Amino acid sequence: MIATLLRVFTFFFEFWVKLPDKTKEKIIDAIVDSFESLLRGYYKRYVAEQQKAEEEKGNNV
Amino acid sequence: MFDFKEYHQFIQKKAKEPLPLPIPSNIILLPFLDELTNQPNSMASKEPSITQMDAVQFEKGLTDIFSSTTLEGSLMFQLNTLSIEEPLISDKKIFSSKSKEDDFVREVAEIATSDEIISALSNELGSPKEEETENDFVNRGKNILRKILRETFNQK
Repeated sequence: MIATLLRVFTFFFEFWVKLPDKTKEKIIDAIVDSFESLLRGYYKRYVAEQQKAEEEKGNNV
Repeated sequence: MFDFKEYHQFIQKKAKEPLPLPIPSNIILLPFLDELTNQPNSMASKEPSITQMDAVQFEKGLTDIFSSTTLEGSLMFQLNTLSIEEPLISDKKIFSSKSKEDDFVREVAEIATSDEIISALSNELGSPKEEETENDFVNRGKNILRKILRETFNQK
């Protein structure tokens, strides 16, 4: 599935291979950091939903 | 229970939705602000005397926050900051113009937020494990994503 990205983003890969490894790692770090708030939001929402489900289950007993 | 991919889609959808108008004078607008900004919402949600004008101003601010806290907004900010701090174009052999560098950054953002990458992350990440703390979960997610990106970007 990810292989399809290679065909679509040819411009990206043309330049990516030319970048120094240090720059590649910095780009990857920047991407990873940008996901942090989304991961935190998902964790909070998931835990809250789970607590709510358990409370409802307890009320129905 | 929803997975990470569904949560991402939910946030994207929420970010594009216009906020309802008119805003009631005592509106509590913040049920999902907290998860978008990681800011505690207790101060604003307990404010009883917010005026209509305050609410409109607040809505404008909230829209700005939404647009900057979606994954795409955050990613472009991170990449542009990186690009300014350490211009990729400094090596003229790689990028012949600023517009090519911009195109490259845009494609990086498109790939990183593509359905393929989000699905791969979501599948491998799963849901928070029992007794897994928020920080542990976030770090696990970041490590998985780093591995996926390295594998994807270095395929050729």
